[in-house]
Amino acid sequence: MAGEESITCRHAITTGSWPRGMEETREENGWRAASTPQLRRSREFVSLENPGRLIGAAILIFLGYFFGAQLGFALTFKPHPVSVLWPPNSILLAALLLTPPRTWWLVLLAAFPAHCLVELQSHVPAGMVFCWFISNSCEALLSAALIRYFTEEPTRLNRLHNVAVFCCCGAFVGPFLSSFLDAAFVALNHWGGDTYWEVWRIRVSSNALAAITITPLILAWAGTANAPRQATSRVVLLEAGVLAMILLALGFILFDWLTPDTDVALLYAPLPLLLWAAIRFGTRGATAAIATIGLFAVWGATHGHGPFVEHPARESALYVQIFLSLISFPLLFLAALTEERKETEDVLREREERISLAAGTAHLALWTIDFKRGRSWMNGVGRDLFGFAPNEQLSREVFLARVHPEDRERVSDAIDRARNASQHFEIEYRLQRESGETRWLISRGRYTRNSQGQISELLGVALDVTRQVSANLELRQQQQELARLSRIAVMGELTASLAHELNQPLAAIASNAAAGKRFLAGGASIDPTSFREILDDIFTDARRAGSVIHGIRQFIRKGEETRCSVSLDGVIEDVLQLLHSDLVNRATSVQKQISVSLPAVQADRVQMQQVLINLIVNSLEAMQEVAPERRRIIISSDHSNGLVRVAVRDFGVGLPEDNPENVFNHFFSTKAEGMGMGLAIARSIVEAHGGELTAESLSDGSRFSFRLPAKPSVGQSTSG
Amino acid sequence: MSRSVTPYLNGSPIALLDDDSSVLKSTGRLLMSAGWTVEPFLDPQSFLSYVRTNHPRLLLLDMSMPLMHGLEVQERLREVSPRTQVIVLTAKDDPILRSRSIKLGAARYLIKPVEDEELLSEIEAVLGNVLKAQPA
Repeated sequence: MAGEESITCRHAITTGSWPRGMEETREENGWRAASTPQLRRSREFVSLENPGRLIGAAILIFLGYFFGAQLGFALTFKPHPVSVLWPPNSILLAALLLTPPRTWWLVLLAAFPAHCLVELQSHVPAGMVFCWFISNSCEALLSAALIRYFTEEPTRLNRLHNVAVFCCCGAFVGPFLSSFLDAAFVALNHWGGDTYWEVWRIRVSSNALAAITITPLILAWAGTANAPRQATSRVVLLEAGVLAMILLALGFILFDWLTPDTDVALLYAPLPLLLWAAIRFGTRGATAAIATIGLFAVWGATHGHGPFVEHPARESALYVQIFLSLISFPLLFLAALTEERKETEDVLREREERISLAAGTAHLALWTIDFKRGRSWMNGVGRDLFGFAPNEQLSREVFLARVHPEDRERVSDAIDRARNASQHFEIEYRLQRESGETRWLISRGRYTRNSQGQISELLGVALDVTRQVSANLELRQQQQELARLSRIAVMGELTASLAHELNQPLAAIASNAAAGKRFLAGGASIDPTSFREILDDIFTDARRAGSVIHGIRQFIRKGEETRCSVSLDGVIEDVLQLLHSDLVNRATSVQKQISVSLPAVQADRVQMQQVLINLIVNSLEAMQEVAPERRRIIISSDHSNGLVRVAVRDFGVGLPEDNPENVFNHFFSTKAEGMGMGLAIARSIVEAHGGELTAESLSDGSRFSFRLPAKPSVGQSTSG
Repeated sequence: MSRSVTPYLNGSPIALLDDDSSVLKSTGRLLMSAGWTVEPFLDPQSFLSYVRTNHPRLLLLDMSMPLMHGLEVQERLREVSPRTQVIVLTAKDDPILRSRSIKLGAARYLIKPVEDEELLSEIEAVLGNVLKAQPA
């Protein structure tokens, strides 16, 4: 039925830890496991959905029960009918555990004719036959129900919990309780000459031994028959073959060949082989080894060979049972423990592979440094990125050696802080590769501590963000270029005003020069002081003209932004000087409300001028339709909570009523010839400086305010 | 070098009104080099106060001033000193403004920058016309 398994992922996850009765699909780390009911049905021996399988299972149960009973008869002390091992009940229990409860009636129905056949052959009265079937069925049903209740489905003896439940319910509670009924039936039917308690004790011990040797064997081999096949290497098969040969030989020598006076210490001889089987081959190896040794021991004891034949039949049977029980219980637990550990290792390995696969796909470098064991690990992506050899041992020093020298101290400090404070660290830095290439990385990591609070491990992840950093740099350059073009556009709008600003000093120079020339040419007496005044004025006006040109050049210059300590008061003065003519031409008065001792900000002066010019030009345009006597701009500045605020208030048409924030959108303009970039660029500049630009609509105009973080004064700590 | 009209204007200076002190100072100096007496004003209110009691024959007037526009100065001047001639000296080459200024009585509308000789010639021309119009 393996073909019916609806495995929807590449690997079925068989941790076996999902809750009993769980019907929904389990998801783990994004990998969908098979639908549990379907998977469970596929592992069940009998399925009502498949008639062929149903009939096959019924025949198997019939044969199993029949030959189990024959084996039980064969393993009795001749001529005394004392059974050491009674397999039919344990076969019935295994069949019930391998089938769903809704088909248990079929299991019992298939076992019933086998039971009748075997017992009637032994000339047992029909009433006794029926009673024994009832007591046997009760034992198997009780054990199976309890085991199913306390374990996950399907029942597998590959977990300590399941083995404990099985030993308790299947090997003790079931035989213990059902034997009261069985002994009562024997007494009621006056069958045999044993007392009630003798019957009870014999049945308990023989059924318990069968339960602990036969049922696990069937569960281990039949229960995994439908599990996904795993390739078994030839070496493992050879090892299993060698083990089986040695075990058979030892079983023969110990329980058939040796005489009863053999030293009892030799009974420990199979122990290494049993441990070998449990540790190397898990539950299947352990159950097979137990069954082999058990068969040899019981066969030898019941046929007059080996170390258990010195005593009366019942005592010998009891010794064999005790011997086999004592080796079976711990071995089953050991096998389960081995399988659990192996399964845990498989899960961990699988998770590690998945994480490595995911990390590789995402180009993530992962690493761990185990300080206690002095071991380290880094995935392939990380070793390629950092340039570590495949087996190169990692340490903080070799890691820091790869970091760009300018970033090394900063990275080291961040790691130290994380170590001391037991916190995560996250840092962006440059990696200097051996080829000389520089890569930008973001690393995040943390130190883990053991139960004593000592640092045990460093876990980390690094992501190569070179491409993003380059893209951000390019974007910033594009934004700067856009801002510069915007400044040129503003200059274009202000050409007339700027020309006037330049013309004024030039005209004054020309007039002064002409006047001086006239004074000299006319022979008029002019005192040196007046003449020096003329020259001083020419010099002053020339500087004024130069200042205007310098301002324009600075404003539209192309180059990297340079942030320094900037007084926004000074910026306001610069801008008002630049816009003086435009303000006069537009008959707009400017009122300044400047805060005393306004802190400086860390900013690019030209960009700050651009922001203010854009806001003032926006205000002038908002007041175009307003009567000249109402055209007024109030420029104010203040500071609070570490922020410096500059506001430009106008008495114009105000902001759009539906969404005032629209004014900051690119290409939003109320002018036919406007590009609508000014305010958007102003906002992007302010935000790039860590500030904010807001607009508010007033009853008679609007106010645009921008806030920037104040630069800490000299006396103020900057560390924080 | 003195102009022929200078004697007439002795005691009646040419008024200058411009909000730019450099321009005001340099223009005044140019006129003085040509022999004129000048009375400079930085703001229109001072000038209008002055013309309430004095009547200059000529005013060199800037148009773009923050406190009062040149046209408004012309209007008020016409009320208090209608015989004072006006030469507009401005950077604004605006036909509408020129037209309105001429309608308000401006004798000339000159666009800065103006060559010194041209300015002096225009002043002489305007004042010469005034002299011709004067009754003997």
